Amino acid sequence: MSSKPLVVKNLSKSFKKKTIIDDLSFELDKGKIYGFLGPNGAGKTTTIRMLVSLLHADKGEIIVNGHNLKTERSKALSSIGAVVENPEMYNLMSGTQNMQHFSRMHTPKISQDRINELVNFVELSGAIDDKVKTYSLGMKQRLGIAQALLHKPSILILDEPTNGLDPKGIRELRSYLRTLADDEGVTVLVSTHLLSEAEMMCDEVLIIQDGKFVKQFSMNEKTESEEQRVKALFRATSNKELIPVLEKYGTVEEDKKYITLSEIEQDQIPTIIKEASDQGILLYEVILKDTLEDQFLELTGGEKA
Amino acid sequence: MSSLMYNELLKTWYRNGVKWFLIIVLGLYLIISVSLRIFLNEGALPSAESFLITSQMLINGTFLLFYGVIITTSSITSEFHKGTIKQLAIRPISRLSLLGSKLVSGFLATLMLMVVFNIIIYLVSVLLFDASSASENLLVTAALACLYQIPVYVFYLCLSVIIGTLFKSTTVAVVLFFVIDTAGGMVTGLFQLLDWNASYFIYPNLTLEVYSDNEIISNQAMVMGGGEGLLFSLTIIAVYSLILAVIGFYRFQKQDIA
Ligand SMILES: Nc1ncnc2c1ncn2[C@@H]1O[C@H](COP(=O)(O)OP(=O)(O)OP(=O)(O)O)[C@@H](O)[C@H]1O
Ligand SMILES: [Mg+2]
Repeated sequence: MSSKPLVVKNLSKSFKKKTIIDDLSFELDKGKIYGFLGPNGAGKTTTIRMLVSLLHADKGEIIVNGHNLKTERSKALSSIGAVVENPEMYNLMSGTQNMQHFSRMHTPKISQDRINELVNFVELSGAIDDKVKTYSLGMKQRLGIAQALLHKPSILILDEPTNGLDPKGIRELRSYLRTLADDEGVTVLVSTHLLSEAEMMCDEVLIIQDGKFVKQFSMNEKTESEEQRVKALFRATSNKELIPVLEKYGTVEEDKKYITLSEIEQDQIPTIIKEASDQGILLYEVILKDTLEDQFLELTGGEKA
Repeated sequence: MSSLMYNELLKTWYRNGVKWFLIIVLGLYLIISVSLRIFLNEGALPSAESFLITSQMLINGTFLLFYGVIITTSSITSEFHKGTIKQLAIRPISRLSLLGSKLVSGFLATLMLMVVFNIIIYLVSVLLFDASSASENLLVTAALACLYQIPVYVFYLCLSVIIGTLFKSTTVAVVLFFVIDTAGGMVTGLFQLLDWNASYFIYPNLTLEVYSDNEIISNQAMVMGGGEGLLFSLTIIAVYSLILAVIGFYRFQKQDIA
């Protein structure tokens, strides 16, 4: 038996003979925040639905804290909290009533103290006795997270939780998730189709495309070895004259406005600028881009930026 | 299970406007009863027993039955429409218990309403109308008439479960309710016309009152015809209910919740 919070093995699912999830395998470690990344239609929601037993997998296994979701469904589900797609609640009931409603679905009994604690955690105390139909989307998202945490799950799964959140809301969400992962050892899986979001929020990223596993890597690894690698776009008084200078550092691409070096060390930029100005070429702009973005688009078959 | 049922009853209270159903139907009933008492002249007034049994037929057999179907079906369909079904189905609770709690709560809600309504019906009947010449004890009659109705609720609520899970539409449930309720009589008539045995068809078995020794109850029901015997009819109801429920539960168990 594995001690990992979540192990997914060879998961497959078809809808009407169309394969949506294709032999997907991955594992999550305790207390980390994972970005579940893939373009629209990659199969993120479908995978999540299978993880929480809304969909029955055609093939493969889902093991939650050593419990097989298929054969030990209740045990497996008692350590998962989730919001799948939109945080739908009972609109005619208040936030408190919704929380109590969901708390009654767990054993052992969940105390009112736990409910209050979570309501404070997601900063909803002020509106918790209002009917949910008066809530903004952001408030519903927060209530959704609170109700998913009622039974102290060791895995929290959120499907595009930043949907409809403003920058402040996103920042708050990030801090909630950080607290959960760091202080309570909760493993968090957040799906998103934005790499930038995953980079800000997550420890590791898991990329899928067309229902297939593409790549899993840690953000920390990246900060150590890959942080220095950037893509640089230059605009100079004379782009033509700049090309020979840049060619010494790597492969050069040219478009109407910029000359692009697809991958260089960040440390080399000042040297390049100095060298150019020594030759009388002045630079208007240098834009540095994360190489990850390109990798992601390349991996997922999107256009190169 | 009891906390699941508490949840369902709570949601029913908010979702189905139970408060308004009670206020409106009881209000109308009281207004009509009092008006009859005031405006009909003494000779035309119905006796307490006939007022009681007519009220029960109308309210238990139509209003409550219909409302029970709506409560039970919508407890399933509305969760699908609003998407809250996901929040239920990801809990460490079997789908069997989830749907079971809905069926049982629908039944309990209908029973509770039945108790409230029939107490009022009984009081109105004996207080406003003449009960002195009643051929049977009216309290016993009122309670018995309710008992005969209960298996019918079971059948219709099982029907609600299957409609809720298969069609996910309260409208379909409502339409089907009327179709079965009205076409049932016609189909039975047709069967009899063609000299076929209609006993195994559900409809004639739903009028259990015909088997009662209580004359107030059986006289009222005689016009509707009836089946072969109480035990026979109860068995037919049980078999139909079981089949409907099994299909509904099986479907809910297997389905992908999108
Ligand atoms: N019930 C269904 N029946 C048929 N096809 C489906 C069903 N659900 C999903 N699909 C298909 O599966 C594919 C993956 O969908 P899914 O919702 O999992 O993608 P996603 O990665 O969550 O995308 P998004 O970023 O848009 O949310 C899509 O092509 C979709 O059309
Ligand atoms: Mg999705």
